Amino acid sequence: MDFKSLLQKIVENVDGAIGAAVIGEDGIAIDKFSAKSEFDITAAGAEYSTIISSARKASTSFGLGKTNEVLISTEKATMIMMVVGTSYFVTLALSLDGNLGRGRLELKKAIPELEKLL
Amino acid sequence: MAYDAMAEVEELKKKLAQNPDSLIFVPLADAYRKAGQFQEAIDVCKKGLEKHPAYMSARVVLGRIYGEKNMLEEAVVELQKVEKADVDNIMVHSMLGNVYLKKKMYAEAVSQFQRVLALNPDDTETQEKLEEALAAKQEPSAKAAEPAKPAEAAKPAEPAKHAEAPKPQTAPKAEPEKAADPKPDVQKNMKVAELYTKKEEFDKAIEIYKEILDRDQENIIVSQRLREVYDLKEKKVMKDKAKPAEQPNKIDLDKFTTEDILGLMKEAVENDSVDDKPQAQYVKQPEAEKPAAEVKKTEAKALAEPRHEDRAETAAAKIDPEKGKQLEKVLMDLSNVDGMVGSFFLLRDGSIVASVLPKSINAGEIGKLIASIVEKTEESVKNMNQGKLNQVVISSETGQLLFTEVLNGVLFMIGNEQINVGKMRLILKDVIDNIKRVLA
Repeated sequence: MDFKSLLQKIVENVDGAIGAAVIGEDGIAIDKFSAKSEFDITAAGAEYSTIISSARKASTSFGLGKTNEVLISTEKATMIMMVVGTSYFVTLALSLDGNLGRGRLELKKAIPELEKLL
Repeated sequence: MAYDAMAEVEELKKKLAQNPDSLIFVPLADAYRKAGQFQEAIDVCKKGLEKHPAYMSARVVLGRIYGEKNMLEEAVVELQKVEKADVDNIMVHSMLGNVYLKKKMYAEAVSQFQRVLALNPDDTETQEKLEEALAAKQEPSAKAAEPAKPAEAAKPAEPAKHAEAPKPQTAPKAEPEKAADPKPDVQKNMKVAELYTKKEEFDKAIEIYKEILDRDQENIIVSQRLREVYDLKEKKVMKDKAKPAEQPNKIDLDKFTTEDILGLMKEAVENDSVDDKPQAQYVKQPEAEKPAAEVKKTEAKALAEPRHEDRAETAAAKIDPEKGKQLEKVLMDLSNVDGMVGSFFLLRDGSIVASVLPKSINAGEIGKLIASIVEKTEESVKNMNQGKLNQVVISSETGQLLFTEVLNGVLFMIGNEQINVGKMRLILKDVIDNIKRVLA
């Protein structure tokens, strides 16, 4: 399975999923899948890579070890970001009524496959 | 192929035009790079960096473009800026290693590849590159082939850092973990210390925590745990002393189990958390004399730096001190959550208005860090047109950080690995309502 099919599978398996992407630490998307064209997952990757990097710093400062996951909820959507390997993360955007638990589960399930592909 | 890249360029150009302040310039620069339009890629990156000079990802991309364009000096300068800001950035170490390899600066390349392998020992590609760099470095001709050195010395971007890193490599075989300034496996050591604590072998646990602190004095969780172990040790000594008088049979003390210890640890955290209240000054109890001497180094540092009371003075200009006290009471509700290490409420400038934190946590420093994270997150959410930021949860190996905006401030929580997130969220709602009530 390639990146896009894997991302598509994640989005299709989660109620309320808007889009998913695999993004490098530098904010560049490796691949993406959007269920709604109005949500720009590429831009999200660029924006949220800075947050991942801040989160890592915060975790280190508090002696909490490696950052595994960052969850951001806003007025319009929820973003889950999970670290894949050492330099990438996979992100899933959900609408407000999206199934967050299912989203996390699908991402966790996909990580080993993504690691293989990377 | 080229067509695809250009189509992407066009699409991203449109997006950037719609939102010129966004970070989309980075994917755009990268798309230009993929299309082979290096100069455009550099221009876009540089222009974006004028607006977002602290956006390190853009410097990584710029460094990559310079590297591909063979502008190696420029690549090193950009990548070193990122390295300085983020020492554990594996991508940057790898890119720097490759650039140094191209420049025939083998010692520097070795150092960078070793850093990559220290962070990711399974990276076989880097392992091969390291071996290549080591072999090249050891060739007698390699030294002659390093004319870049003198020029390198004149370069402004901290040559000293790299000068100290490469140690004389005698073994031709790459041994990343040994060679690469071994970062102690803190998490593993902490687990071992926890096991010793559970087994009541407190001295061994103390020794491990102190070793970690020797390397990382800023590690607030470890300093907190060290104090907890001292407290547990003291309690055990006292209990042992009291034992013959109170209980001639030894059954109960023999059953002093992990649960008891965890209970005591929790108690210690809770007591420690309310350090502002005289009756709760856990480390000032008589038995605290020894621990205080032992943890002097960490304590002295914490005392020397401004604690939240000092910062609260700044905040007091904006929030009534009385309200600060009321907020502190509200935060106490959160300390009832299992695994909660501490919480605080801060203003956007990083000044902490109220906190319930263990003494080992330097609220002043944390305030600034959190304020900067909140600011960056808000900026990203704004650029994404996602409305107001509600909540951020950061899950790490041994704990969670959660922050949420409340009126003009931010509520921040720190939990350890045992935190009950469900309960925390349940209580959080009430806590937020109460904060709003106090600030109203």
